[in-house]
Amino acid sequence: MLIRITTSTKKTVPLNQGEMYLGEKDLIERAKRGDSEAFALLFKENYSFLVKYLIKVTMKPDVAEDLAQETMIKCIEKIKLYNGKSKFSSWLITIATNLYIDSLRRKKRETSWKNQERVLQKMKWRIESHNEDWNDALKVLGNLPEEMRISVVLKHYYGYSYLEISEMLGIAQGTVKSRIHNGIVAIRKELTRDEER
Amino acid sequence: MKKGEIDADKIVIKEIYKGLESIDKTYQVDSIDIKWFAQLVENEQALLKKKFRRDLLAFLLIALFILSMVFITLLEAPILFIICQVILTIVIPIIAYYLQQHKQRVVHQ
Repeated sequence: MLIRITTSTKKTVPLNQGEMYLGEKDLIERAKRGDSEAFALLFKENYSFLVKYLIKVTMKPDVAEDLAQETMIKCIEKIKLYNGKSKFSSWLITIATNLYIDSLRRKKRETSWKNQERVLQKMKWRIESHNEDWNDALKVLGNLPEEMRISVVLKHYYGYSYLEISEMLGIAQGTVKSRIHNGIVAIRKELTRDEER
Repeated sequence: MKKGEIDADKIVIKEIYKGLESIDKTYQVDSIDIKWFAQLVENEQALLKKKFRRDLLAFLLIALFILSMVFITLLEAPILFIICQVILTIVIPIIAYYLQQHKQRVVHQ
C-alpha cells in the first residue's frame, strides 16, 4: 500500500487505488510498528529541511549529507522513544545536533582555522554565484565555537525558545542564554572591528 | 546592557538571519527517490534485528555464567559468598556515585 503526504498542506493524498489518507501522526505510529514505507515517507518529507539545517550548523555542506544519513539511521533505532511532544522535524534536528556534537567530541582534533576558512570561502563563492548576499555576519558565525553557533542558529533562525533549545541539547536554560548572548556579542564585536579597519 | 548595544544586537541578528536565509536559497537539496529511503530503512531494520538477537544471546550467556558462579560459590564456599556480597554492597554505590558526578561534569562542560 502506497501513501504520500503533501508538503503544502501536510495532509495525505492517495497515489494509486487502495491507498490510504495518512497524516504525520499516523505515519509515525506506523513507523513505530516497523512499517518501512511510513519511515521512507517521513524521511523524504523532512530530508531537505534536515540537510539545510545541518549545513547551517556545521557550515560544511559535505559533512551535512553524511550526518543527515546518520540521523535517519539513529531515528530508525530510536523511533519508539519519540513521544510526539515536539514536531517530528524538531526531533530529527535534535538527534542530528547531538550526533554532530558527539562526532566533534570523538574527533578531538579540531578543524584547523585555515581549513574552516577555506570551507567558508567556498560557501561564499557558491552563495554569491547564486546571486545571493554573503554577509560578514555569516563568516563570523562560521568561525564561532560549534556549541555557540548551534544555539544561535536554533534561536535566531528557527525561532526555538530557550527552554526548547535546552531540552534539545540537554543543557541548562542559563547555559543556552549565555551561549547565545556571548555568540551575538562576539559577532557584533567582530563586525565593529571589521568596520573600523 | 546599553540601549546602543541592544540596537546593534538587533541589527546583528537580522544580518545573521539574512545570511542563513541565503544558505537555504543557495543549497537546494536534490529530491531523492522514495525507494532509496525505503531501502535504507529495510537495511537498517535488518541490521537492528541481527544486533538484537546477538545482544540477547550475549545477555543470556552472561546471565547464565553469573548465576552459575553465584550458586557454585553459595553451595561450595558460603563464607566467600558472604564476603563478596559485603564488598559489592559497599563498592557498587561508590562506583555509581563517581559515574554520576563524572556525567554531571561532562554535561556542565
